[in-house]
Amino acid sequence: MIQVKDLSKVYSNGKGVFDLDFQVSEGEVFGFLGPNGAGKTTTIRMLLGFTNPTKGSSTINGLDARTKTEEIQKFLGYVPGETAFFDNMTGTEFLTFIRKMRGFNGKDREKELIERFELDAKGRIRKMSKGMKQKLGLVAAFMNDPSVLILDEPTSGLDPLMQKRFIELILEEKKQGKTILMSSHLFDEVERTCERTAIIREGILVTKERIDELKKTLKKTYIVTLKEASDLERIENSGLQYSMLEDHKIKIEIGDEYKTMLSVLAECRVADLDVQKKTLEDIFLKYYSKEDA
Amino acid sequence: MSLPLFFSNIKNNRTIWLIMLVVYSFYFTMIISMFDPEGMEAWDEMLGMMPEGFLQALGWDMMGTTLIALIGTSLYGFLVYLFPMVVSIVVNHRLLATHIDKGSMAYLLSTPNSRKTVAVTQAVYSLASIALFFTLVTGMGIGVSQAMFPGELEIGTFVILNLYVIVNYFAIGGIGFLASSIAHESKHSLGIGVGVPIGFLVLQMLGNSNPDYSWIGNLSMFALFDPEKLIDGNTGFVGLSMAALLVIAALLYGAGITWFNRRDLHI
Repeated sequence: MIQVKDLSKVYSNGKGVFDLDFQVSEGEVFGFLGPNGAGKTTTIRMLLGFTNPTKGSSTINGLDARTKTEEIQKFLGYVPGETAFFDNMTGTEFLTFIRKMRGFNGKDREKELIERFELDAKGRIRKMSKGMKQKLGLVAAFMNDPSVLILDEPTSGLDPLMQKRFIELILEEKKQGKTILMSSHLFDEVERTCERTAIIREGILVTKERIDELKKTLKKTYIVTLKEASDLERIENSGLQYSMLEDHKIKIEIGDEYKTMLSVLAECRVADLDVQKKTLEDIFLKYYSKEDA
Repeated sequence: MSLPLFFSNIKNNRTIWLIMLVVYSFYFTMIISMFDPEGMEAWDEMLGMMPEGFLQALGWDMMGTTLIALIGTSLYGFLVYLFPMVVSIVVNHRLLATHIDKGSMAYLLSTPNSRKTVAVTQAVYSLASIALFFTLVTGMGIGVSQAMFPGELEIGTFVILNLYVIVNYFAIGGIGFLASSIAHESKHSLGIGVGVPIGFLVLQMLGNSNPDYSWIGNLSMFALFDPEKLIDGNTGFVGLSMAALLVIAALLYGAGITWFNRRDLHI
């Protein structure tokens, strides 16, 4: 379990993160979202014990994240936001080096991950593409089967197929009861893997909610074109929320009142029915932009 | 102490140390080959062409007539700093600052090794590489001297001279190591690591160039390293200096490890 309590890091320029509070339980994937420079990496650095909090604390499985790094690292997998390796090593040498640094011998999982992500680890890291480096980082983080995972934009640079494989991997890990904190910009990825998300903006947590709760607040919008204007009356009387677009064209917004809408529309002569898709992205973007919040 | 990290340091830095060893060996052989047991005419002739102030600045004005005196004054008087110091600074810079600057430190620390373990490993490598380098130089020096002028070199004094160099270099390495551990940016690490020892050298040269300003030379850490005193048999000064240099080295490396353990790492 990852527990963040009242955590602040204030830099000399006044920026940083302020009074963060959240926790990630076992078997949970927690999405950590926010625009660039919002403080995601600053928070993750404190969870890894790289920087000292100005205030507050964070623990991983009950161990203080700043002081007990040696113990924590025995069961933690970390994918850094920036891929900086030992440039003059080959991918294979790097993985061997990390394995030795961990004092860990098992290679089965490593092999399985290399196949899964189609990693070509033979070449020099310096010459690798961004995506290949990212794959190498993923293999390095997952290869000792850690029970807690902290992933800073784990799929950046990956092609769509690899992103899909990554999501599959995360879902498998989740089933095994791993604790996973993941920062991401890909809403689709978050929607498919995370139960809960926190959105951070300018160092402050602006929301922390279950994804399904967030989804409930999403209104579905249907654009209906009627053959006869007289049918408008039926819709008027049904109590559905709607607005006129053109003469025969209306926009209906519903939460989960499908039954009401369908039964009313069944009585109308509908010429055309169109769905205006709204996704979590719309919610997230609302929190991302400065103006709206 | 992490052995895998230690071995990776060896691999990363072996080329630069090897090149240094070759250059140094070449230089060493040249100096020794200039030795003439019958007299030092060749040297006197060459030195006669140079201005006296220059010779004093380099500490070459006291050129002796024995082989150890020749080595002590020419090779270990001033030039001993030129090449190995650069290597030592670059290596110390690589041990911590480069990893922090590039971000690869994140990978070192996302293994079950504490910051202290990482810093201690790098410090041990830093010290061990210096000790090994000068041990090889000592062996090579004895070999070359015995081959060219059998029996001319006072081996005991030569070994102590090199121990003296090693502790002097521990202190120089300490400056580079501390700079490497506190720097937020690569350029700061190199700036301090190069700047401070060069500053000491300049102070020493100023002090040597004019007897009126000899006090300036004493401001330099390198006032503690004076091979002429060893050759003159001033064991009291040499013993105290070696102890002082060891204390300085211990403080610098200790401070580097402690600082690295506490600081913010933006990786």
